Amino acid sequence: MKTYGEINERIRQKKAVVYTAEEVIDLVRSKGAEKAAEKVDVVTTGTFGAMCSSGAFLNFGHSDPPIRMTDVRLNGVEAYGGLAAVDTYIGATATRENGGEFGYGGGHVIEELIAGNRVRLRAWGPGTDCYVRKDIDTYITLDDINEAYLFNPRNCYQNYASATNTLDRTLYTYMGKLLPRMKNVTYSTSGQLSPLLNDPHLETIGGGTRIFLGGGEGYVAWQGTQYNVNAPERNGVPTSGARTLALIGDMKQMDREYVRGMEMYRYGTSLAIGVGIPIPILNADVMKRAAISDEELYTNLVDYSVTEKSRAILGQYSYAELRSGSIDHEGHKIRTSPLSSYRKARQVAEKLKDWIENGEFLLTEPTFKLPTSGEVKPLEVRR
Amino acid sequence: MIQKRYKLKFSEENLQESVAYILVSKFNIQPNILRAEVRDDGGVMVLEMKGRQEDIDASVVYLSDAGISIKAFDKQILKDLDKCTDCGACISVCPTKCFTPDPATWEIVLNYDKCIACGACLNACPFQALTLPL
Repeated sequence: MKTYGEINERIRQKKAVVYTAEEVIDLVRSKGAEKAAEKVDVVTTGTFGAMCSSGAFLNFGHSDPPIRMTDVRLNGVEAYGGLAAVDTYIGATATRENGGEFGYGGGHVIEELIAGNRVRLRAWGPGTDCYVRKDIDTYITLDDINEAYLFNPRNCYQNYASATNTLDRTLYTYMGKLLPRMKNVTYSTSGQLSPLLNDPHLETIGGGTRIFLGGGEGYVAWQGTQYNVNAPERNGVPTSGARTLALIGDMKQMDREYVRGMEMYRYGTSLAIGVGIPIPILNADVMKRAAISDEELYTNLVDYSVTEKSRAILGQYSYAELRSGSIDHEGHKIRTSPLSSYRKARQVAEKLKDWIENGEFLLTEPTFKLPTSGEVKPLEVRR
Repeated sequence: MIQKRYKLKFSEENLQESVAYILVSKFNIQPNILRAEVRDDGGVMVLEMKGRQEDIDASVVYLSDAGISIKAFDKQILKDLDKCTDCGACISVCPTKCFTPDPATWEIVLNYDKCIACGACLNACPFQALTLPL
């Protein structure tokens, strides 16, 4: 049994024993959870994938004369004009009109700001007695503007269904290119490295938990949208979409290496973000859960050609099988593609491990627990 | 026997040349046309030749003399390493299984020997890291 205080003291002294969620699997297999829990102070997790429900709050500062911006474009992408005069929110999936063959959207604007590139700001306002200017056309950089922080309403989906297509034509979906007649399967997770798969009931992760977000320090702000604790479980871990996190973090600390705009062909734009969450090894139970491996983690296979909300589940596969390159479905071999970069997930977990080992990153005890109840309600169409 | 890939460009004058027949009958080459299309600015062909080195060399000279632009084409798909995140979306859409993850690093490796320049991977890449320069 360890406390947050004891672990942080060891981090300050640069004596903390830190493993990534991948490295710790073998340790727990050979020594057992009890012994491993005595040895290990922190397990770091990591993921890098599409997180559509993400975006950035920005404050541009006031021009002279000032403007109350009600219609805002950043590199031609629409940002929200319903906040105070020079505040905006740009969402990852907002897409520029006439963006060419490949779309360009909010995710790309966020990437360019973090990369230090100049971004064109055009805005219009009504012109008032206090904000006389009616339009502005200028360039900004991340350094120039006042505040810039990501505030992502839903990141780190605890688990997510893998996708296939039974139709006789290719489908272009947010789960990627799905070839006809179940010729491929896509899945999106870092599996055994994934934050919420390693602390499935959020025993250590909660409101206020300090995390790695996009290369800088961030925090868990709230439960994510579509938060659900009622998903069926296997080996103590949900097998379908379950808990989610709302995350916040300073863009000025971030690195383009971990924040990338993306476009899923014929679906739209999004943002790929690297997120890493440290798990304090408070006891053997936390240790055991953090040592879960791809062989023990399962997800459903879903047919994306069914457009109704309630899609039939075609099967359930372990992430070890999905990651092997193909799955065996009713006697047929189907090739698989991950959509989430395992190389970058590892890079995130390693980076967070470095920070902790070097005494640069202390753990926080959650200031509030995330809900232990909650389910996803559908939207009824009423007339 | 060696195997080499070339990109051929045809103009209006030589668009109807029967390249494959000449390669087989004159140079004893096994041609494999991976891709052929007629565009507004002429024709483009991706051609694989299998044969003896000297026969392939002679074929290249012959085609070039016939006014067909011929260039070695051994990196069919260009991968922008700055844009690629090694996600792996390309892996299962490739009909010849060109893309494989390195089991140690999970870097996605492109095997050019297998690539037939079909372009199936291009719109599967969410980071627009892949291009096929024809």
